[in-house]
Amino acid sequence: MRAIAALAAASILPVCATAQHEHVDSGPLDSPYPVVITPTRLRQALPDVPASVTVITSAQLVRLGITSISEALRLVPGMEVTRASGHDWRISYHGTNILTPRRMNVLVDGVSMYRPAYSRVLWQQFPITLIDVDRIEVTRGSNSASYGPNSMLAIVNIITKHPKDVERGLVSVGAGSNEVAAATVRLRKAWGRTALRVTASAEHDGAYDKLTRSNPQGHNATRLKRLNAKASSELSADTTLDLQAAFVEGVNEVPFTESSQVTFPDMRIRDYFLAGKWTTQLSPNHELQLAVNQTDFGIDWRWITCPPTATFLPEMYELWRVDHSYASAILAGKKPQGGTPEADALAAAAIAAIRRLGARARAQTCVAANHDIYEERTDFELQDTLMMSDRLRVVSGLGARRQRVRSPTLFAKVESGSLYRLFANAEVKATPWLHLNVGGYGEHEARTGWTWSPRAAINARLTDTQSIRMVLSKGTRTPDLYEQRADWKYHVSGATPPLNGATDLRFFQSAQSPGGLRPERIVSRELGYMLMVPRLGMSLDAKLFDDRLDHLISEKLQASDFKPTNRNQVRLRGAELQAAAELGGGWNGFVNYAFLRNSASSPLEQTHYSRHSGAAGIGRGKEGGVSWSLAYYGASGDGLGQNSYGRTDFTLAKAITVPSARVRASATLSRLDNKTVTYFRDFGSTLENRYDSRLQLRAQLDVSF
Amino acid sequence: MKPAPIQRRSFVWRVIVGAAGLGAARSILAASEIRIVVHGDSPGQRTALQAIQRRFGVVRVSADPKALGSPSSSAVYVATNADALRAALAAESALPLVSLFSSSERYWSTLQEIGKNRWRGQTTAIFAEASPLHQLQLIARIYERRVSVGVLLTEASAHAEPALRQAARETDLELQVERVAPNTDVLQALIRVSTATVLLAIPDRSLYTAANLRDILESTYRRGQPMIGFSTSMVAAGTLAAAYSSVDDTIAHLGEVVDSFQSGRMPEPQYPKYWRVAINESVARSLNVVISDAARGMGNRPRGGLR
Repeated sequence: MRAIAALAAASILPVCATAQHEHVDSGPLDSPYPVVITPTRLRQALPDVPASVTVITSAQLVRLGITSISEALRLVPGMEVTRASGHDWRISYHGTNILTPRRMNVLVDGVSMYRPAYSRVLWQQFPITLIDVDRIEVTRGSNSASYGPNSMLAIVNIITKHPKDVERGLVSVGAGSNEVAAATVRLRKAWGRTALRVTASAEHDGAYDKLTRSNPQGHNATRLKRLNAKASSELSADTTLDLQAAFVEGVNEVPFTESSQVTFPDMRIRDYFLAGKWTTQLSPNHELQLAVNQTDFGIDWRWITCPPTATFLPEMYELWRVDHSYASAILAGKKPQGGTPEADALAAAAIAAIRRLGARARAQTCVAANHDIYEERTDFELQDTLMMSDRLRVVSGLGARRQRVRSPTLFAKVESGSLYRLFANAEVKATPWLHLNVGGYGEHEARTGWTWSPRAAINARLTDTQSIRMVLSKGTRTPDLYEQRADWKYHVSGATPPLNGATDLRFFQSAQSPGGLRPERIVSRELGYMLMVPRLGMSLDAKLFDDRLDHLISEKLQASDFKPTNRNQVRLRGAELQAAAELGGGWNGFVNYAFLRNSASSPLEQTHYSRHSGAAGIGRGKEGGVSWSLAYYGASGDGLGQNSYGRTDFTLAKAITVPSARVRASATLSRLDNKTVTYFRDFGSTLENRYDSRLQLRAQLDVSF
Repeated sequence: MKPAPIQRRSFVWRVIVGAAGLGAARSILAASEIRIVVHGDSPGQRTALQAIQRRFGVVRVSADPKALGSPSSSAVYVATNADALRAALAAESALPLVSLFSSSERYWSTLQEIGKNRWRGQTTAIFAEASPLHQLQLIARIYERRVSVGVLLTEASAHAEPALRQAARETDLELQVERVAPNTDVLQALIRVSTATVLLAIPDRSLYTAANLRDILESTYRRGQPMIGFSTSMVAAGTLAAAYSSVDDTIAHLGEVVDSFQSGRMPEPQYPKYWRVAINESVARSLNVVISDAARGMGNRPRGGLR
């Protein structure tokens, strides 16, 4: 799949400019070098991109001592980042609903990390280590026109290092507060025109020391192992083949979520990732790319729970399906009232069954429960990039995706679906200073039909160093398989003691999606300004935006209450600023700030919201010398149940070059403004996680050769 | 004296131009006999010969130096490329020899290989590539601040390091020099200068081959690291810019070198005095590098109405 269309788009200026003499055949100086950076390979200049973009480079990640992609996103103006527990990061551009952030797409080398069942991104489980990241490009704003539904609020494009761009070998070890430890080994090998890099890593992160009032143990660590191999082969002067395979396995510790649980509902994960991309230059102005990928995400999510025996009665199960309140009242020992005749009859049957159990009804029955889920996705895309003239470039393509989900708890059967897509974007150079971008993305899904996400943008260069942009776009988020087709039943096993002779039982709570959900929608308007000051090595980008989202599915979906609707809307307005400078002499600095106003029809869409947020930093580095950086990250935390966040990082590093190797040692000291992070769980319920100390220390040693 | 018969891979031209038609020709030139040693027959070489004839009037041309006439105290030999230089050196003449359109690396390695002593006369050169100072001045003008410049050097191009360091001091730029050992993967060396703001290419046949340049350009471009080349063909290939000397710039400089001979002074091998700038506007735009008109107009043009 393509890189961010904006940044992968070719410039439509002529490749060669002001040569003023004919070549002289004089050996190396005027050897006929082939044109390497052809028009189709040129990246789109930032002033010409029809969106606001934040680019985080690997150099910045190293300089600032950032150790995860989740933390790196605090550098993006307007990005809400909350760590709910060790593996559970709630991240969304402009926030909104913290319960399940699902309106932002994430790509790793063009492959979506957006899971088909839950519309979620598991940030801790990407099939890459941070050391392999070359850069993170965040297009801030609806990018459905380029990447389809689910890129509704923004898209995060993570691009890993080309196998040719890494050292022969790298060993990295790190450790720090909160039981943080990581080890990575990377090797590179080249044969002829093929290069391969293989990275193996293991990491442990203890995360919070305490979680919620009911779980003081702080059981939320993650333990992951990854293996990633990426190969690039030049099949000819014009054709390359890139292949990538990855495997992730590990454990995400999950704290108790119910008082009846006796073992932690930890997740055991196994993810497989396979991707191939074949690119050929039909001519310097015409490129064709075919991308195929297969992703398998698997979670074994099991625990032992010991609720009251009555909760496993078939009569209670049938009553719940008709009237939740009746079932809850009976279990609470109250007499249900006000229901339908059917509910009354089922309630009577349930009460009779409970009476037959006698004292056993309130005694515990221990069972093995699970929330296993296995998601597969196969994706194919063909993309054509054509410079039709020096004024017109068109990127178009088509694709298809097949996704399957299997979950004994969430779905009655294997659920699958196919999606088909078409897209086209045209970049028109109307005048040397005026660019127009027009395009759209159409996708067909069986239950929602066709969705169309158009975009029109004008980029105008006021001077060589200043430009403005105006963007109008529409985007969508297609309801996921869980929202549309959930048939939630807890089938449990190993009942101890058996109930009426049976060890395989069914918990009384269940839920079924009403289906018929329509896509969420966004209409986004943006006015942006960009300034570059070469003397300061500075770039500055500012934008005003007005986004209107509607048909939002905001409700918290759970077995006790599963009623998704398209009832809600949000208006997000505000301003953002980002600036970075490479001042020379090794000095560098950055600042970003976002102001956001969230007007929502439901408070659920204001649970992840900071009116003010930003980051700033300064540093100095010299090759072969000591480098340091100081950075601050903050968010006002104005969402329902949300507190403010602030953290100061100081990083010190020293790199030395010894024969055949380079050694870099670094340490980062962090100070939190608050030891506590709170976030919304439900109305009247806030979860609180704590670190024992405001201070955290991490150290890392890298040896490359 | 008649020139030698045409050999299979060499040719002899006799070029006659009405010297009166060249009002710009300097009187000193009429006193010097320019003998051109050529090698091969390419459009580029023909362009150079035409420029020489415009500047100097009557010239003798041959692939065989001995066919260009008997020794003359007013004659100056000019080799138009590295292979011609090799042929000229092998001819064992006592007359002054000027090498044109060969890189410094190629010039020094040819001298070492052939043995300077075989040419009993004095040799000098106007190197094909612009001087390190001019290249770094271009970088300084583009970036308008102190930035780091990465340079890869092998043993063959190591002679350029002192000039590079001096030029870096004069232009207030930070230099990161990476020595590349023989048979080393150039991309691995490139990684060690990946933190430099810009990469400067110095002509070196072992580093910048057509195949290597592709890998180097793709790698630096992926990293967003601009590269400054040493020729217009490199700029066309995808480097950000180059300071370079055009054919007419070089020929104008040759005139001054020949003048020096007449004064009894043999100049040292040197970089071109006259130069100008080539920019790949598309690459500059895509890498978000702002090129000012001042940077585009940099250089030193020869006087006298020459292009």
